Amino acid sequence: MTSAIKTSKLSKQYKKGVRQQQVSALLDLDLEIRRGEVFGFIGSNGAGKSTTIKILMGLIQATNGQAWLFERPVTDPAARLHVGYLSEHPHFHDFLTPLELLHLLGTMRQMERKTIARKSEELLGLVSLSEAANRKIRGFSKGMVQRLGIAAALLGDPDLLILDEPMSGLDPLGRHLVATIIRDLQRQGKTIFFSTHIIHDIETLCDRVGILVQGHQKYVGSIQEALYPAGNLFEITVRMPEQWAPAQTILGSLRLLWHKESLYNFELTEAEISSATQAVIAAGGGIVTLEPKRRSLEELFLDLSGKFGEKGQSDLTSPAS
Amino acid sequence: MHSFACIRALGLATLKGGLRDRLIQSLLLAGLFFLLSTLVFSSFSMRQPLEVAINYSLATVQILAILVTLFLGLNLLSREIETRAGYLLMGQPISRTVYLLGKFYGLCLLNFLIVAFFGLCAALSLPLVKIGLTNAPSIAWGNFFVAQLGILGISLLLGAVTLLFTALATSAVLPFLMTVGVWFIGQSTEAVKNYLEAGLTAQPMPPALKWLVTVAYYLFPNLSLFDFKVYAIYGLTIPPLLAGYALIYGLVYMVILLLLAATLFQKRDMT
Ligand SMILES: Nc1ncnc2c1ncn2[C@@H]1O[C@H](COP(=O)(O)OP(=O)(O)OP(=O)(O)O)[C@@H](O)[C@H]1O
Ligand SMILES: [Mg+2]
Repeated sequence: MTSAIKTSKLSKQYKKGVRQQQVSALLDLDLEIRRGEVFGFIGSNGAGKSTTIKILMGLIQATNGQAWLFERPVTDPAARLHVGYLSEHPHFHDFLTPLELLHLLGTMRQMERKTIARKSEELLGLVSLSEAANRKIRGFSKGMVQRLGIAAALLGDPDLLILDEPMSGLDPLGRHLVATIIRDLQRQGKTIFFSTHIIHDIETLCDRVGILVQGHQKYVGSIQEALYPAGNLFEITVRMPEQWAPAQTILGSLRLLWHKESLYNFELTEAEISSATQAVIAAGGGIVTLEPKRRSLEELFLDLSGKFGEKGQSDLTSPAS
Repeated sequence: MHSFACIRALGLATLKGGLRDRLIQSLLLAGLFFLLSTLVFSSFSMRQPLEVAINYSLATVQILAILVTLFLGLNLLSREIETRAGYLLMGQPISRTVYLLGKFYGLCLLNFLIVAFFGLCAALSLPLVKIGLTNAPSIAWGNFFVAQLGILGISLLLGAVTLLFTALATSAVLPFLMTVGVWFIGQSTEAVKNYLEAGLTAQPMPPALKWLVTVAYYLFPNLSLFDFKVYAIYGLTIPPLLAGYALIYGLVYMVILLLLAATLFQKRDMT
């Protein structure tokens, strides 16, 4: 099967200011996104996500390396024919109305007038902008602009969507909408490549993630493995009878994370699970939750940057993708 | 074929933006007002009211076309790149050259409309000035038309200049200011060169200066070449060679500017 996105040793150095000071934004990125995949691209601010995306969209030129969309080099405008793009800070010709803008974009995608009209109406309905379809974009709120950006990205019924922080600026309903759209498109076999800072989106939407740290790719693979590495700790929440105290059982040897009324939450290793659960039941208590302890995105980034603890990059090498 | 459809669509959108731009709207309104007032004032002129009216109305159309070009360049080209609104278009499956040509086409459309509309207004009002004038000369309509074309030529050349500077600069004001500079220099290179070559200067000119003037003459667009106002005002015959030379010069210069702009734009990082 062919890839939707492929990069090889992709690097970018920006030249800044009069003295042409070099800023290395991306170094030797090798990435391959399969068709039909939902791929999350994460990394802290300034990690190089938008830089990568702009190279893919032909907006900036790579200093080194190559990139392809559906096997076509990104320097060829035709590579973008089946690609929908939402930029990080969408900004539109504010003297146009959404309908006029979509018409212009549709023409550039070689769509027929009738198709454009039908599709525009449908998409503006989808992103709840039907009311504003004939209003100048100038007066739009940030979220409305973002919604229009999503409609614009979907216009040509693209096989690949490249979205730079699609959830940014959206209200909860908008976020839900975008998540629904991504799931629908995945079901239709489309490929989605998006950057985000929201861990919930990654966990619920992505097949795989790529993690960038200061322009270096540090991880590619399943998010579960990144967030719940093997040998990880677990957390157990139990409900215990009144007058119970941890010290009475082996639970006393575990680390108590929090305690509220009759609920207790402990941290424990995989080996301690069975003895701890038996002790809880023996004491007449009940287990409320038992789950692997998830690392936060911050911890993950810190780990990958090699600044946090001993374990880090070593146990996070990508399962060859 | 598809590229042409894109250029057309981009041009129409740019035209729309121009006609919906507040600044350009007020310029057009001011232009209309000026045109009317010059007609009123020319009729108060003691000598040659018709000549004065032709001169003023052509000058009004010219300044209007140039100002609109400058502001369209600023608001719908340079600023479009500064605010990243153009990135959406460049992210479509079209080449940057198509994008640039689309913008230029929009500029051409707007300029054409303005020169046509205001030229027509002027043409319709000139006979009014003639009313009540005894032995007024007849208006040289052909020359008047050529003068309008010359105005169109100047503004389109300046538009292409803005395009080139926009491809070069990262801020929006810079291309605007540089185009204004080119406009001023372009109007006077020929006059300065002729003046110096006629040897009318008090002291002999240092060769470096002479060289500089010659370079400026060939580098900057010679805008005075497109000034046919005198022929329109006095009804003189326009030498066909001069008109033909202006036409070819303008086209070649414009094509070179566009090619340069497209080449530079292709390499530009849209960050
Ligand atoms: N036009 C530019 N000139 C110079 N440096 C730039 C430019 N654009 C980006 N950079 C630098 O490149 C690096 C990567 O930036 P990029 O925008 O790709 O980050 P990002 O991962 O998208 O971050 P964020 O999460 O904040 O959007 C940063 O160090 C940034 O300062
Ligand atoms: Mg970014």
